[in-house]
Amino acid sequence: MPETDFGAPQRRMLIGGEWVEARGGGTWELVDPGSEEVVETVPFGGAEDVVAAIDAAHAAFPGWAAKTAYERAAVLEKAAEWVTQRADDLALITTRESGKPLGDSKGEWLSAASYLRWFAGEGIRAYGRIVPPSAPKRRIWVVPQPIGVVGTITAWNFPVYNVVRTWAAALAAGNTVVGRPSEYTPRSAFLLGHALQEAGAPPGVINVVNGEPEPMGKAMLDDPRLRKIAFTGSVRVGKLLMDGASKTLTRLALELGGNAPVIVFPDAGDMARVARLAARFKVRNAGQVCIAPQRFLVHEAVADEFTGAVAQAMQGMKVGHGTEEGTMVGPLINARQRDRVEELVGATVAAGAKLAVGGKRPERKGYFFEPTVVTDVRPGMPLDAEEVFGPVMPVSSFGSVDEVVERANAYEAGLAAYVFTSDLNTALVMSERLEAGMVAINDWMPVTAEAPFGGVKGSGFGRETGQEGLHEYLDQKSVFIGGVQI
Amino acid sequence: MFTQDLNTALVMSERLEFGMVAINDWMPVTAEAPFGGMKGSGIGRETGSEGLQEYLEQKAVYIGGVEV
Repeated sequence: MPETDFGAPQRRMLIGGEWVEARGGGTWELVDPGSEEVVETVPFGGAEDVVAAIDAAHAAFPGWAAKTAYERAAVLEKAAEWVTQRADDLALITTRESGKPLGDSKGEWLSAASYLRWFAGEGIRAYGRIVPPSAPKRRIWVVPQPIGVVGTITAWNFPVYNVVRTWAAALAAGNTVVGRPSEYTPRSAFLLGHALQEAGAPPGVINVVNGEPEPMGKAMLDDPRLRKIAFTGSVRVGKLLMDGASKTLTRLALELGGNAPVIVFPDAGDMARVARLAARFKVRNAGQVCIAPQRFLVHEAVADEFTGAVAQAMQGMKVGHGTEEGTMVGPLINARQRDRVEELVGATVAAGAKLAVGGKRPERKGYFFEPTVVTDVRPGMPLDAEEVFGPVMPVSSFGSVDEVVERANAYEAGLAAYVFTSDLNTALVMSERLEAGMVAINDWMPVTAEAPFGGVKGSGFGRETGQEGLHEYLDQKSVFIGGVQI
Repeated sequence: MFTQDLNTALVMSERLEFGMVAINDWMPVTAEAPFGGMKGSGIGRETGSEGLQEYLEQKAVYIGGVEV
């Protein structure tokens, strides 16, 4: 399947409105994880490229911040239109760097359009407020103002979505952006930058760099002009950023990993249907999803029925290259990630759990792993304690609400949690007791432009999307006016 | 900042990079308004409704499959 060639914007960095090579001349060969073939050579820069991008973003900030919210919204709306019209061509480029099925890539680009549109509208409604003063002759306003230059460092699992939710919010609020996507999936980010430029974003408002993660992150942290970093990625890197943020007091929003419990009660309804959907959402993006349904905790009364149905569904999943018709499970992003999934499954089975389905790499090129079900998983086993980030479903059973709440809340991860029940009281109690930023009740996709997204405990802090997601990119200023004569 | 000129007051209130801007006022601190800094003065807000939200976490609850 030939790619539509977008020219420089799919293979160059964007700095100050220009499509450029890395200043040091470095390059990176992008590999299609479904075929292990090189699909593109892209620039691979370092600190100096980040500094150049901050220069451009800093110069562009006063002009962008001074525009009305309506002018900024018009740019985001036009970018949404640009993306929508080219969704098929963009999807192929995303599939050939991330591995995901073509339909999922297209869905991601169309959802990018929805995020751009939603933040275009929300930026218009970034209201301040007037506070009734407790003292006479005084007026108090609270006014939201853009922060300045915002850096984004994002992961490869959603090459478009991770990027757009931060950029759309930051730009709608009047900030300028230096984006650093994953080196595994930079083309999707370059093309989103292109969409914004084509839509009329002035040079320097959006900059996209690719390169060595550590020096680039350090260059963002060291530069006081870059006021905030929104990061999506691992707990390990999130903590490194937090250490480094002390130098110039860089504000942070950290979207780190999850390890979502999925709690199935006997009154969840048609168990075959729950199991079928469980399998489908488990393997979405080959399980490389920070809110992926992960630790399946099924009530003992329905555990056998659920496990049997889910094993059957997982066994029938078509594994293949993202461009193959009917592919449900694509490859993992790279060999290291695939090896890690294999190790977690092996260690859990070695610890006494049972392999019901899968558990191996299929015999083919690409970083694939079979859809896998592991049963009899006990607390503390590797597949229980750690985020697997693969198409692997660990299942265990529970007896009481207290027991399952304790198991669900046992670890530091606190991003998403899923509950399946038709009982009102169970739904309410679980939604309150689960320590997670998003609780999904009879729902498999707790992520959308209009609702806040983010974790509690070790899953990070700050919120993306929703009203909260816009306010992450605004500073509150209190204006006091005294001596008012009436 | 001390001025009786409307435009000066507005422009200065917007351009100054401070968490609190006081115009003809010496005490920009009170329970009902947010208090806190920009840039190197720190992160977060005390007092005002923002000051309460600092101590609360947002949990998004999604309920699917609702039959109407």
